[in-house]
Amino acid sequence: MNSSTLMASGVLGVFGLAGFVAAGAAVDESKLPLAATNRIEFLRDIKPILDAHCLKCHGPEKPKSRFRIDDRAAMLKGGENGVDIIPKESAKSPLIHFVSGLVEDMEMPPKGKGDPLTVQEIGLLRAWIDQDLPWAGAPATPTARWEFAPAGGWMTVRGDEHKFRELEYYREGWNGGLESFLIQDELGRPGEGSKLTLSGHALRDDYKFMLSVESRDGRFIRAGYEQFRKYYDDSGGTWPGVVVPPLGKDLHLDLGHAWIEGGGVTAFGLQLVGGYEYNFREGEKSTLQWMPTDTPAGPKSILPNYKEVDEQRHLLRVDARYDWREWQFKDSFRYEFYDLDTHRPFVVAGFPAVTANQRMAEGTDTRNLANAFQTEVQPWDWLLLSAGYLFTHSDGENSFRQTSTDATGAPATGQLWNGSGITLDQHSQVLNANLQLGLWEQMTFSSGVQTEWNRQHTFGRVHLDETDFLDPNVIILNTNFVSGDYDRFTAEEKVTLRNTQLPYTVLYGEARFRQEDIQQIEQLSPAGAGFVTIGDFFRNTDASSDWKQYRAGFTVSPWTQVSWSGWAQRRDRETDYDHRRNERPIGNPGLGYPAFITDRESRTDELGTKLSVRPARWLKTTFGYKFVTADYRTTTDETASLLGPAGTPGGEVLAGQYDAHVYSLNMTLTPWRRLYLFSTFSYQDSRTVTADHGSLAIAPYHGHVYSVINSGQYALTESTDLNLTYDFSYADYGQHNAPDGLPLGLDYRRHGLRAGVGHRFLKRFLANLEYVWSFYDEPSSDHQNDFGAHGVFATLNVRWK
Amino acid sequence: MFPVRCPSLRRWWGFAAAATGLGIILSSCSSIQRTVVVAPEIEGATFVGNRACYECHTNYVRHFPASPHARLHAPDSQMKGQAGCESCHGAGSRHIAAGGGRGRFIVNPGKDPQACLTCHLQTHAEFRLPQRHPVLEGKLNCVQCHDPHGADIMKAAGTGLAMARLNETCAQCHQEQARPRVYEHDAMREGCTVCHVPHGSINPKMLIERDLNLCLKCHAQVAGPGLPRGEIVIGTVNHTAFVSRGACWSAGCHSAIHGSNVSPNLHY
Repeated sequence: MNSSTLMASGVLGVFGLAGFVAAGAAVDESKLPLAATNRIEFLRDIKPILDAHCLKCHGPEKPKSRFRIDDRAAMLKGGENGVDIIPKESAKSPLIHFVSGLVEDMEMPPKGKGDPLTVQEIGLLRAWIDQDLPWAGAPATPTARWEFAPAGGWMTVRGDEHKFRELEYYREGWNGGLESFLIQDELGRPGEGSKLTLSGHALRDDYKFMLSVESRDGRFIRAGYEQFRKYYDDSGGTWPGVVVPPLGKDLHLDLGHAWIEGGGVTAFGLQLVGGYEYNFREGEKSTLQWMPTDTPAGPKSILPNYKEVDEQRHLLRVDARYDWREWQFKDSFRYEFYDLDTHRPFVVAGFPAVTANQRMAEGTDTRNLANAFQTEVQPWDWLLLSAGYLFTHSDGENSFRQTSTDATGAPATGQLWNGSGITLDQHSQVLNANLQLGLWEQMTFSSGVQTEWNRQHTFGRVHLDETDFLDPNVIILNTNFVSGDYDRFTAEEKVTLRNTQLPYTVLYGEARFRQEDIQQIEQLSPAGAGFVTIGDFFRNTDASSDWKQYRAGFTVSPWTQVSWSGWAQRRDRETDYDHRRNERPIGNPGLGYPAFITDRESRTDELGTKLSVRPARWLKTTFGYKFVTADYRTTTDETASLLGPAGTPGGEVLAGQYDAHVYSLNMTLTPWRRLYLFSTFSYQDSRTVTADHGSLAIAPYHGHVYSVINSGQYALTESTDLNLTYDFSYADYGQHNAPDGLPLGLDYRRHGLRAGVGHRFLKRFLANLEYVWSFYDEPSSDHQNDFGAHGVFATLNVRWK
Repeated sequence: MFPVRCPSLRRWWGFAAAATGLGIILSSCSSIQRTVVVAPEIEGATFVGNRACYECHTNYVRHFPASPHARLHAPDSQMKGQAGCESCHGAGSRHIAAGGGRGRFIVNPGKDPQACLTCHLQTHAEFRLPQRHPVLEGKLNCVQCHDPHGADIMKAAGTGLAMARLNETCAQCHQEQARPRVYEHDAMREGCTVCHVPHGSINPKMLIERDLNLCLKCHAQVAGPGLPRGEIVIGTVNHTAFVSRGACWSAGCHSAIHGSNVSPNLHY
């Protein structure tokens, strides 16, 4: 029997099993030490004994055999196998038998887990039980605790208020409410009731309420609601000499989450948790699908755009867990249904003769059913096995609707595509198995394999209708069928080897592999008579992917002041596409997308190191460096047979290269007990270039990012703190590809400062006053997004018990 | 444009230094019992090692050797608390002596990102960039996407099987983008991080690159010998005029960039 099992069996039911054993085993009570005769005071006589000999294993957190000694009611209740204490009858109490060593193999504390109790200590315990376990003077059970932090402040912004909101996650003007609140109380009789906790915060556009009721036997009910607002800037791009007005909309999404769950442990040890969740996202967000406008260099897509979002998700879940000996079984059931809707306007300038305001609405109603079963066993210290099976099924309906109108809202020339019954049906089955060898030894080997089979079928009838060129009131009808089906099989394997044989050193190597095979059929057919914007097509593609990732590294810490680590990593990904059929229109060979790429490869190499030095207890510095380089290669079909010499002959091209150097430096400093300083500096230099065939519209994406994060706290006096944080970041990815292209890279610098003072008074109060400064400067947008902001916030924390 | 002046850094550093100096002078004669410590220092506690944690927290600790965090943890490491349990939860001796208990002489970082950012410096810096997941603002937290105790760090804590499934972490919140469609963008099969930086970026929508380079890394092709230099053909379509308008999706063309139910070329 290994040490772990010995330990487990020794501790298992230390007291709880006692009752079970004692019931059937005769104990010679004459061998028990005599009970003390003095009047017992719990704090003076008993608590030191329990703390020294029992609390380590039978404390409030995961007590052995579910027997707790930190609470009188729990102590009298006994462990998972019965009662251990019989009030006023110490000689009959299994607890006394065990601490006296009268039950073989059930001595308490177990051998190696602590010193045996002395005769005097056992005598005191006996007297305590005989006197009906007085708990008076013991630490009070949790009493009511209240904390509130009303807060208020004002922020004034000069410049782009929308950009300020986007970057800072709150808006200008007043903000206030409750920065935090906490109410803790006990329901029912003191020391025996359930614990009630209500906490959260309620600020402008940001709420969180959490309620939990937890009983002493582990049952609980928790519920909550939280919501915050994500703001978006409403400006688009820029072009020299062209003023692009912002949308003038207060773009934001409200993201919320409500939940309720309850759970507990059944009589036979099954842990059950059931719950319901509701998530939503609603509002308007900016998009990068900018709209075109004329500039001296031709049309440029720089007009801002947005979309309306209304997403709602409901989730029912049940989680069960059961531990049996060395085995653990878990099952997770989920049923989810969600409704996602988006609406997006778009302006098509001059197509074909007048500007059309298009509006696109997409929606989906989907139901997901999932169940995961997992099991885990640790038969010996050095072996851990786990396995699992996941099944999911999804079905849903999708819709799409597009309208085209002119500025007055009348039908305009353009597309009127719509479809309302596009169905989705998807099944997945996942199998997983893992092995871990050599726990706590100097060599650890772990491996895992996971396979996934996925089948998806989508089908629907869509109407790709168009308005007539000459009369937008005349609609040309085109009815089409869309379908996309695939069977996908994925296998993933990972292997990790970790060695700590060398003193103070970890050596490790890891490999992760992923293979994927997809059989895919996509179809758009048959097109109706009349004008068709996109042709019908049929694609049957077999794709196979092979991903490999290797990583090796070390960590060494030979001195108390130093830890140094380094690693190298390579990641190869290749996907090979075999387009068995590519017809566009159906029945004719197709060229170009979507069945065009025949092979994709990427290789990413990474080297990194990190050095931590702590020359003194009050100073820790860390330096990190990482170099990343990646090559992307693409192989395509030919199009020369269609386009002539202007078409590609096909073959492989080095499509892109990415290189980055990343440096980071951190210092944490506590030169005096009252002063804490933290500073992090980060610098990144990255460059992406692609095969642009000399196009002046495409500029390398190259630049630097500097970030500085500083914070300091100083305890000025016993009751007064000073706080200061300062952040700075800067980037220069601006491009100079105008007038041929559209410069989209970003140049900016940003400062943020918070300076505050906190003062405690009258024991229950803590007042904080904070000044906030924020500054943003964006030359690449011709300074249209710049802002400067100042604000003051005050908080008063009140707490009492 | 309105005039915004950025005060010089020197001035702000001067202010900070003066405030600190003033504080030291004002309090030099007072006696302070409190201390501002570097979390997760626990007063009076000493390091006990992972093995001691295993006694009670078996389900977490027994997976640790397969965790990426174990890459940094040698049991005999001289710099104690380096990536073991106690590096995030604090030295454990007093917690054990007290019989355990949630929060009793132990740090439960829970949803507090500082436990992670103490070591993940670059990630900390990324969370300060203009476009980011609002983790430092307290609206999201690390364990919604990562399991600090599990074998697969790229997986939300307490979810599903041992290995992360592609995109499932992002799809927890971004269902609209990750949902199945009739015509998929193949890039989705390589994962969201092919185009997006998960922690923070200077670019809108947390893109790796904001411009055409993002797309051309996959969609570049060998130019035809008769194609005039400077012109771009993608597939069978000459895109020279289109690329001058902006990036592929933000030029208003391939706007259904995550997939489409009606357009195989992801136009809508």
